[in-house]
Amino acid sequence: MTEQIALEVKDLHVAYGDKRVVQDVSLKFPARQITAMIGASGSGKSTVLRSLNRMNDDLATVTGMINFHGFNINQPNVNVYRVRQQIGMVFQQPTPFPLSIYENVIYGLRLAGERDRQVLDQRVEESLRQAALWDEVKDQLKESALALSGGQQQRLCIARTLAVRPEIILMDEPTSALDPVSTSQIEDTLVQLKEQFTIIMVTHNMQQASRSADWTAFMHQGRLVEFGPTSQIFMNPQEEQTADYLSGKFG
Amino acid sequence: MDKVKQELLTPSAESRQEWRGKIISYLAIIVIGGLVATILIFLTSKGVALFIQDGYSLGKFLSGVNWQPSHHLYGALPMIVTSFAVTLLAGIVALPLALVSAVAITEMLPPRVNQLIQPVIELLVGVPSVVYGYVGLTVIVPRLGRLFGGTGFGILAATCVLFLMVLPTMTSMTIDNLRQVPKQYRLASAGLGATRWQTITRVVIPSAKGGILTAMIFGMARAFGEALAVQMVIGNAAVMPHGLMSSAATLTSVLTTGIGNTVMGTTSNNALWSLALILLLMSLAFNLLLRLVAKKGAH
Repeated sequence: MTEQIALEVKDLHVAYGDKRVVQDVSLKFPARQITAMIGASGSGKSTVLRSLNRMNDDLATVTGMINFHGFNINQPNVNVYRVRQQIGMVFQQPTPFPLSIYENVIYGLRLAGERDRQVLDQRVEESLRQAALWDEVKDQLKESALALSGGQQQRLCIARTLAVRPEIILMDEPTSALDPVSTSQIEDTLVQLKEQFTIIMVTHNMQQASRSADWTAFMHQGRLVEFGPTSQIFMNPQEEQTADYLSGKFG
Repeated sequence: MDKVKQELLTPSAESRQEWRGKIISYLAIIVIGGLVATILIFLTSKGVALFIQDGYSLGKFLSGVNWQPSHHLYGALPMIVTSFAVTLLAGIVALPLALVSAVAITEMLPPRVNQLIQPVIELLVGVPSVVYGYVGLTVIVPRLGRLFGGTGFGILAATCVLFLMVLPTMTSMTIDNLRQVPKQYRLASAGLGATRWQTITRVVIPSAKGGILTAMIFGMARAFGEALAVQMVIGNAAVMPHGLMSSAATLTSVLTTGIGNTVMGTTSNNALWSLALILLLMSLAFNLLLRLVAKKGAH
């Protein structure tokens, strides 16, 4: 099996001050697939995720290689703003800005200096369609995004990330603040999205990982315990810790 | 069964406590409301006396440019203009500075520095106005005199003093408002490839817009009502100002200078009360404006 690799992490260490929270993690994220990162609270999975597009720059010391297009982006001279346009991020809490729906979607494009109305209009429709939100909001694009429901807000945040056309989308527990219906809508959306994007998702929800992810990485106490195809991790884990976690012995 | 019913229907220590609390609260409200009503009634009745008792025309009062009580001329326009001029000038200069310092403190400086700066700013808010007036008198007025000629007293000196007075207020309130912008907004913006500058100008400031505006109006209201510090540096000439360096007088400074030198019930005393009424109406207007902004900001 020759998988295309979207992002490769090599010997990643992350420390907050003296506190080492991630140690020696090496991982290859396959392109145009969904990879779930699971593990107990404090296992370091979110920290790894945030390091991937340099969101930890101001908070932690990140050492190791993060190879993107055969190039280590974890270097001081790399333009982090461009990195984050290529590797977008969706957070746990839906955080639409207090702007109109339209302005929310084009936020990243505006940052990048895009002014052409036609491009913006077209990108808004495309991104909202990809995030499965277009039909619900197409008549209220000029209205405040804060009036949307929680699930709609989160899909708007996904659309906002898609609008910049990143290669990789990082998601930090994207559905943990949502109700089950919204959650399943977003999961459906993710499956659609993986045709074009590489998705790396941190989740506390085991079913979510087993339902939507192609690959699963299990982390425990700052170390990567096991990584493999989701079915293998769930049905036939190689490590005892993974089996214990999945069967609910800790976590 | 009856015993339970009886117990449920008789007042207990808790219900009596509840009653006492209610009575005390209502009394307090009545006292405060009564005070406000008294002030309003007193000021209004005194303020309209000039027009009703003394038969001075309201139009002449509001549009007249001569304030010469000895000649029976009570034109308040110079003071109204001066009050607005110094307030607006001070506000316009203070606004960008307050915003920039607040942004620097909340968004850029390390937390340790801002633990040091914020108490200092809050201390400045509480400094008595006579101190600002004294600084104006001894530091600003002589320098302005040397720079531009003349005595140094006047509109510019008053503007400088008011600017110093309202800057801490505006900055401190703006800081509070910027702090209230959810941290997630900043993260989400950074996650989309925004620089810190872009995040501040496109998300943080727009989200705190209503609050920042409130801070500005609040500062200006304070400047409008300030009497002592202004009176010390403005020169107190109740004439229409014709430049930044010309001596002038605000509504408040004329009031503080004049009220002790007139006899209750005389026309010149009544005229001062009319000025006070204008001040009161203006602070009401500022208040209404604040409420309006707060209401709009909530949406």
